[in-house]
Amino acid sequence: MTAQADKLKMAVFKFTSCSGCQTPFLNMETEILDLADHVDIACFAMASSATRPGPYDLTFVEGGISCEEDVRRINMVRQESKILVGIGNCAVYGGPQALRNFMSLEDLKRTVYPQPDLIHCFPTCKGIADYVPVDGFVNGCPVDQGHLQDYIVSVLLGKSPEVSSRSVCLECKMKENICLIVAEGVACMGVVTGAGCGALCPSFDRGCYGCFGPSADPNLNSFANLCRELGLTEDEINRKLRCIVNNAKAFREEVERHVPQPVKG
Amino acid sequence: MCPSQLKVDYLTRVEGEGGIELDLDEQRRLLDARVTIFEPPRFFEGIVRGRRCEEIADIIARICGLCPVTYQLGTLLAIEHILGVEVSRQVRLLRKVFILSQYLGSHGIHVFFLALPDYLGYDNIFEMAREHRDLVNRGLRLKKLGNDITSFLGAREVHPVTAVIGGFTKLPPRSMLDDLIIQLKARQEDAQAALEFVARLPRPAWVGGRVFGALSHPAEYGLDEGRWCTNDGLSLSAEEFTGYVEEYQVPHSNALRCRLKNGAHYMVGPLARVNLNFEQLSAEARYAAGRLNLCVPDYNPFNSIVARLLEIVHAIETSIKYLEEIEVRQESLSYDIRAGAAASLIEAPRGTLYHHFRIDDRGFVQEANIIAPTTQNLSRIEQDLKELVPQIASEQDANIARACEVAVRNYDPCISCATHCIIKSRS
Repeated sequence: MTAQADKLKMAVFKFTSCSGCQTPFLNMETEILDLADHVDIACFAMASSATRPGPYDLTFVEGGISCEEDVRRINMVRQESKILVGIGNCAVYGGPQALRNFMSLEDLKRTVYPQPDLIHCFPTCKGIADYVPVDGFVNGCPVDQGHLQDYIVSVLLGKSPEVSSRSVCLECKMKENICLIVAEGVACMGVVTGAGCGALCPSFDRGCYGCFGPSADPNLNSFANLCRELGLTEDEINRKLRCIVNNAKAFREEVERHVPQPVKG
Repeated sequence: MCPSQLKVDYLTRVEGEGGIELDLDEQRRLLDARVTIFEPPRFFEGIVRGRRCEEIADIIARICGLCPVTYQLGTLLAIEHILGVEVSRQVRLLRKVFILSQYLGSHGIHVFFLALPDYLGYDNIFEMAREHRDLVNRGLRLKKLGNDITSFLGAREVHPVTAVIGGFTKLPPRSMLDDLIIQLKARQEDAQAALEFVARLPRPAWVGGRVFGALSHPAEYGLDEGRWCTNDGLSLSAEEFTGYVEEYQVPHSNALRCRLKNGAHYMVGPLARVNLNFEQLSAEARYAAGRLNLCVPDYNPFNSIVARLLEIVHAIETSIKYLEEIEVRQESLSYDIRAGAAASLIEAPRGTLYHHFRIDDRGFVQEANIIAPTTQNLSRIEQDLKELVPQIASEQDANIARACEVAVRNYDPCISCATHCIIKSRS
């Protein structure tokens, strides 16, 4: 076992999110105890009552930024972290709750709360990079536990974490799945979605719904045309691109291209 | 001594962002106890409006990363009621196994990562593992079993992708169900041993709330069918639920809570279920309870951890039973869209979860309402603190704070779940 002082000092923080991206740390089962031999888990509120102050060598942040308090905390976390990594859809793009970025906050408050005036939050939920410099991201909604492990191991070994520029479509081909677009006319988002899940949805007979966000340099215009050929209406295309991952620049801009909508800041 | 406020700024070993505030006067008498929730709101009921009914289960799953399956299935049940979709028996059984897998996974996290360190005197599972490696390994194996079943049926552990209106996008081959049965049987001993160990640990003797609510069904341990019953005589269908349970706002915390309309605070979750549905627990779980002298009704919230382990034993036995029965015949899913409104109730790991939707004749969601288990438990949690603190008020602040945290953890609160619709500003 490595002496405590020589271990990588790690922290995990949660912002506006569902905890589904910190849960994979707990789902590492046997690996998590081995991990604790090499990593000093100094602050991880969901897992431990012993929280120690920074600075931290490696900090993982789950969740988006949606209120003043989030902004204060993410700045504090940034200051205390040598390497700051955003994990999951919320930290990278703002998450499913960023759907509100395209709606009226006042309407939403009135829909959900009997006393809307008591609700204090931003009209938007955004990824952490909109507020502080970030050193790396792990995509997914949720992130894959293997990717988190790889990230930690990479930092321990002093090498750059591997980031795939491939698409789900390529992963799907490598699994030799029958293509849902070609065979069944399903508007599968695998062609424009970043790899990492192992083409889960197509392997279980449903079209990809883009939960790992856009792939590197996706051709959204071509995807929209493909959807039209498959008979989707403009509204259906928009809802596809504005779903679980909705605030990613590529998806957002494609929607805005065919249906210009006011986006509130 | 001066009037003082005792605070836990950030609750640890719970899901989400919350704290505790206790107001004490000069004689250290408790004036008020509050569970503060500063998790920001996420407006799920608002953001699913205007979306197609087929799309929303994936979005609503994102309310909770610990029990997404029950959010997905609760949503689908309500939508299926609206559309008049009858699911096949094999789908009903697979869904029950799917829900029970969340009990294994979520209870596994709560018992071993979140709660047990309190009873053995550690800050976390990592320290606990140094001296209790065998016990921790049992817990990790049980949790992994739950995760494996969730991913096996749903393609991944968190936010699985296969549950849709009418059933599953793809049914597993029978041979894989046999593999699952083998895995489940291999963990029976872990579950029994963990239950035995935890049931014998000293826990505070304490009488908490006396009103419990859970789905009950004469033929099975209530999961996704039956009526919502309380031990003081209510028996409600999903449609009737909000006629007897009301959400209310408390001035000191701006937070929506639930109580019965007769004014009673009530508890949902594992202890409530064991109390109300003990007779429907698996034979092994009932036998183990008898051997360990566990009696129902049990009013001690500190025994929730034992109730979770009883449910783990039950979940394994019952999953085996259901899986043995399923033949796996491929089926096609088809339904027609029609307008309507309907509610559903499902027992999530933390307790009863309510969904209600209204959709128009083209399948677009017009209204959504979701009541999470933690929303229902919050007022009962505060009540526990109000009753507990006076008994320990002479102790040092750190000990009081610690005892309060343990008392809150009894309910395994999931604050992200609760704050899809509640908010307490931190200022």
